[in-house]
Amino acid sequence: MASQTSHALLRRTERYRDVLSENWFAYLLVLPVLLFLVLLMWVPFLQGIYMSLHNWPFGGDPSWVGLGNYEYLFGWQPFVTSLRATLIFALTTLFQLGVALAAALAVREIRRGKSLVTGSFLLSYTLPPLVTGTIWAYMLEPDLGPIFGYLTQWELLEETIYWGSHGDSALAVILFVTTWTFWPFMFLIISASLESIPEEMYETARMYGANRVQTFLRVTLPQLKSAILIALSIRIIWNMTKISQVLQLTNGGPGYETSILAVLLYRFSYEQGQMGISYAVGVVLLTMTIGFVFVFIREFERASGGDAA
Amino acid sequence: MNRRQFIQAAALSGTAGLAGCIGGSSDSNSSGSSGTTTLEYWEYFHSQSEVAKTLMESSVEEFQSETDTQMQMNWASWNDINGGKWKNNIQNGNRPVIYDSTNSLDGQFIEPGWVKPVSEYKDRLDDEAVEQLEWAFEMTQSCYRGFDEGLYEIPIGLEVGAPFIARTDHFEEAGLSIEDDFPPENYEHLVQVATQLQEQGPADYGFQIYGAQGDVTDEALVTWTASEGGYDGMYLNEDWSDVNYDNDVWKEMTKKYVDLYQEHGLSSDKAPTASNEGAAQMLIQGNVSMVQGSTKDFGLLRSRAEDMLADGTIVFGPSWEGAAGNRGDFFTQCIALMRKPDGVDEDTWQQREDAAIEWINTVLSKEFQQEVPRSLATLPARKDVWPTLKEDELLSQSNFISTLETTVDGMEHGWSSHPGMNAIQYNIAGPLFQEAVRGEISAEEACDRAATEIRNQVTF
Repeated sequence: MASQTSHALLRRTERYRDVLSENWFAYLLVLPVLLFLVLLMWVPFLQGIYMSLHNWPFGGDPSWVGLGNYEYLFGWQPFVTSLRATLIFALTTLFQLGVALAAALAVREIRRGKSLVTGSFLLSYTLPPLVTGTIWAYMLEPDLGPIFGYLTQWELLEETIYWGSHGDSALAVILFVTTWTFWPFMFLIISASLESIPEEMYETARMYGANRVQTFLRVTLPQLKSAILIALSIRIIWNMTKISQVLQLTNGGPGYETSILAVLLYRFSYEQGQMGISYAVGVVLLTMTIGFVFVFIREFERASGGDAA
Repeated sequence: MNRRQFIQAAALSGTAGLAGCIGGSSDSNSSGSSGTTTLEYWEYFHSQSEVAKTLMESSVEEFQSETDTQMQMNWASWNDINGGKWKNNIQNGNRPVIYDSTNSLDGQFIEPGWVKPVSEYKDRLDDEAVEQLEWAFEMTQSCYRGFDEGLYEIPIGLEVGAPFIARTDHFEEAGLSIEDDFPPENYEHLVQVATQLQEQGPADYGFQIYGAQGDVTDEALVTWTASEGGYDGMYLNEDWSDVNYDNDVWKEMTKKYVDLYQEHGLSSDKAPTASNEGAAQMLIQGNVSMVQGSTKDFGLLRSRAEDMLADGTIVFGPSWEGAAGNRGDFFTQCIALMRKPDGVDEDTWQQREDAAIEWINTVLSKEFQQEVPRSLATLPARKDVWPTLKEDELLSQSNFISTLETTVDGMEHGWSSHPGMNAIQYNIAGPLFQEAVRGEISAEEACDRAATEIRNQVTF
């Protein structure tokens, strides 16, 4: 038994050696990037997890507190509010997907002026989020902004809405603005993937009498699976760390109701200099993000029967 | 461009860029060989308003043209100071010789010993200016009471209390007299006047409160608590060993503040998110008749409604005198020297400090101090310029300077320069007091929770 195991180990080692000697140049090329990632990402990341177990004032010496930071966070009411806000805020990714998918399908049908329409769709994504946040903060300002100004002037609204004073409406505005700003990224990826679907597949579907919905479900969607998976995973990760527009529009309020975890992390680290606890918030945020991506991929695989596009 | 040309161009620009990164590391604070002293100056005042920006930029330019000093400016904002940028830079060896700021943000620099106490260079300041500043030096010491030295920063201007600001035309229309009914003499009078303004005046609301997280705790409310409770009404107790939010003074005043909106309906529904500046804008537009804002609103009003100040349509008035015998709290716009960092030659630093002292004397000069209320919208620290300011039409018609003079009389409680003030004033208390303004929690609960959270998160 023991000799069988050592024999298998030997064979595996030889196989690795063969692969290495055959592809040494490829590995050599990958090595700098690998080192870069390990030194600049993985080491600080692991150090971050370690530091989340410390009380670490910015500029001061860390002291070990074990799970104290996590214990404090989960017993702190605003953190629970923040978790809820983060979960709701994560919906922006689905809204972005919905808008991007609809826009990509619509653009595919356009025969003339496609570039112009696509270009105009990308406009919001080409502007820095800080700029679009400023524009929307002005547009949606209850007293001075044009949107509520016109709505009340045209008597569509009896009076302006102070959306920032209520948690739900403040979150809705943030969801709207982030969706408006970032959906073109998904649109780009989905559009590119859509263009690569062979026309023959649609012709075949038509020959078999498939209607538009059936064609979409049986031809288009399975072919877009990889693109949607990539776009959604990337956007979930990116969206969860967006804070500029939240700070611009609501400053995390009212109360803590729009203080998503990234805002909480920013406040603890930059404004209060409590690095240990901000690392703990970061670890929770990371866990949530990975959780979202994992659940999404698993559900998507399950829904599409595990077919790879 | 073909591929070879592209690669050549990229290599050339890459090499040039790298050389720039590596080679451009000469000491930015160095004294030039041509006799010019380069002075690194981190500047905050300019960020407060357009008029403040104009004053600071023109003053720096003029100083440079009149002296052998080249100012290396870091035009900074509130977030640079509060958000860790300054501290991070200083910790990593990038330190200015001189900075200006707001005293309550600077405990984070004083605590590690980076700021030079004023006593170490007071004798190098202009004697005449110092003589006129002694009162402010004495008063300002209350801001640094938790540190060893009495004074770490030189006050340039003082933001004293939160003045009432009102529309005289609204008072007239509501059948009120601006001479007799303004400013309100106490809380009950405020409610009475604001109610009449709302019911009989042209504006929708009589008095706008503000609940924005950055303003709810630091303007009108703390003015009321300080005037009622003295040190008990400040954020921290006298020896900085505890926070005061959960004492009776804070609970009572917070309830009264919230009641103006929740019980009396004297403010618009914007109250929970309104900022002090937003309330001032509502006053300009005529949506409200009276606010209790900040002295700095004078800068905003000067930028946006100068004619209304000049013709006396918008006027200022001091807050009432409370049981503690004062009209509120204060904080300073201040300037300070930093200590010499390791690795810098003593003589070189001394030379830069001399240039910095020259700049401090410039901002303490009569000419600059006369501009302080007009552009920085605070009370000039130098007392001998006050009489001349009364001749200024804008300052006198709006009662601005007389309001500041009345307010500062008997005042003694300055905002602490505790290193954790951002959390104490804003990050922790702000959201909870905003919740109280919304009516989601009671004023008492907001005070209790703020105090508990601060005790949990801030080291005293």
